[in-house]
Amino acid sequence: MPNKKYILIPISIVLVSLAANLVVGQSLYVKAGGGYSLPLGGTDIYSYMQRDAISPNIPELANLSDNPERVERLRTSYGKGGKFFMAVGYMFNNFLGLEVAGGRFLGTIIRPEYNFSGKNGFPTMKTRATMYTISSSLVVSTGRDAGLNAYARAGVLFGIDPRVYTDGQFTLFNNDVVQSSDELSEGTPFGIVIDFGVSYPVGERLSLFGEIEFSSISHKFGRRKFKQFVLNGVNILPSLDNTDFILLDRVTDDHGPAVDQTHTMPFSSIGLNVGISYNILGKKVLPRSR
Amino acid sequence: MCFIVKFNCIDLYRNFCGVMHKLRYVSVFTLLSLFCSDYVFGQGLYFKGNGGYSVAISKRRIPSYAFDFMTSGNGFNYVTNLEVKNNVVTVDDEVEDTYNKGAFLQFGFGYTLSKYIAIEADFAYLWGAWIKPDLIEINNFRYDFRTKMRSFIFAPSLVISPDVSGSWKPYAKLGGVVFLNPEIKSKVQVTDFSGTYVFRDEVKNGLAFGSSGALGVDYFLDDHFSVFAEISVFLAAYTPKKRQIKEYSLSGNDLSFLLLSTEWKLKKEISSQDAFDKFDIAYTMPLSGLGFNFGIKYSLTR
Repeated sequence: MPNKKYILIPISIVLVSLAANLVVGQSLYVKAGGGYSLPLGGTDIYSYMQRDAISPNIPELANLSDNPERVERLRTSYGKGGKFFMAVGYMFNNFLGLEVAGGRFLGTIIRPEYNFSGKNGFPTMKTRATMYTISSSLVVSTGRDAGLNAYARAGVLFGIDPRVYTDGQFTLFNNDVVQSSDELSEGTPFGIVIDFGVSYPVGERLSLFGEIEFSSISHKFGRRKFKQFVLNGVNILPSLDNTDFILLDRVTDDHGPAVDQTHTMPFSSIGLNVGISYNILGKKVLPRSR
Repeated sequence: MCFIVKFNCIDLYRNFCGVMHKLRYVSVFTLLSLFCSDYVFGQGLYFKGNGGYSVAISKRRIPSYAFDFMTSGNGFNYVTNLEVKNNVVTVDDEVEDTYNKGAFLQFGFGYTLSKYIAIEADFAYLWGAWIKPDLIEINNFRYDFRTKMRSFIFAPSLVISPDVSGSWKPYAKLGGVVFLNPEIKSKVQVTDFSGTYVFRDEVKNGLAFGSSGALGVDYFLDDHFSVFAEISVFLAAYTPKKRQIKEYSLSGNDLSFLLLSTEWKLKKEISSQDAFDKFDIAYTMPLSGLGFNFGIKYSLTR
């Protein structure tokens, strides 16, 4: 369960902003859109599955691991993929405002197939991240009343219920074939998000917008759970000693076997958002006359 | 007739080029003057100088060859709070940080294309701040490990701002960032029964590309001078191409002859066919950062 303050703070800011609308407000708007992001500022991603294939801490795999003959650092970010969002914003005046958005990051399949190759070839893996997002941003707008209006947003983003799903297959030294699926979860990703956009009015209160967005986020998951573990075609998941691991920052030798180390996962990205916004209260925006 | 006209045009063009070549310095000066004026192209040129400090944001694991060397190549390729007792790892806690941290000095110039939009180019030098684990104790000996990066930075950006008439003017910037040949230095020092071991290495060569964005506000002191404060975000990563060992010594006596090599080319992918004394795997260093800048601007026109 994410820390309540991460949700309450942006909601409080919106409520205070709405109350202030009675006195000094200029406009209140809602918007909805979607977009797609590509990795940016990605660093080496950590793969528990790769670790299992090289030096497992699963007793069933001990001494069966392969010696990597070829190693490649996979540089990417889990922030790659599609998303959609809804937002409510309030402009204090023509130039400054505040916006709170909630959305869903859908991610996309990332295939880190060439992390290492052992004597028995490459392991195959596919991984994908998802999370719900809440962001709160300050808006700076050029404040043009008609035609194209440029704006920028900068704020913080929190992730809720983040998950990384990984499916993989690898061959051990004795030619045993392992197929496994696991899921990383828990924790609250946090980062900075900046948007640079333009809006164009298509009606008295309706506008279309397009934004370039870049976000700087990383996260350490708190839990790893096996969903599937098949050895040579036989499901041995029920017989594994531990299938649910608590991931900790600091691992000491007095922790039990169901504890593993957490690693920072990169979620940074650059993306393009498009959508539509509707002005609920305040001035009407008119298209530039031709 | 057409031939004559064509010939004359070419001739005229050649003459024009010849004259312009002779007058190239005058031409450049004239063009600069036009850009500096409000007369033709818009609002005019401005110059800025500022300083600031960058801190870590969206922290990542910190790869370090020196840390791995210090821990005898036991696979601790990332800076880690580490405790080893009787050759058993008892504490294992990776440090998360960024190499893009520390003080920086910056200057730049920009040109306002209209009331709302400007283009800007910033040049900065980052001195870097040390990244240090809290704890490294291996079999009762405490190790002192530290690493930091210094780099020149070039950041072109697009600036938008509202057309406000007061003393305060907010603005936002979005653009690219290029870290030019960043150098990452690492140092390890430990004293045991034999004396004091010192190990220093450096990774460098290459460029790191990324994005940057900023929110800021100008406060106009008069028609030309303004002071500004801004918060900027950098998003980038750096994969160096070369690693060099600068020192390996025991109580001042050189021990580098014990090493397999003192210089490696770093590759994104290595195989068992690559010579271990020439090639090593390239790590990607996190360069995300949150900067706080304060400075002064001088506009030729407001």
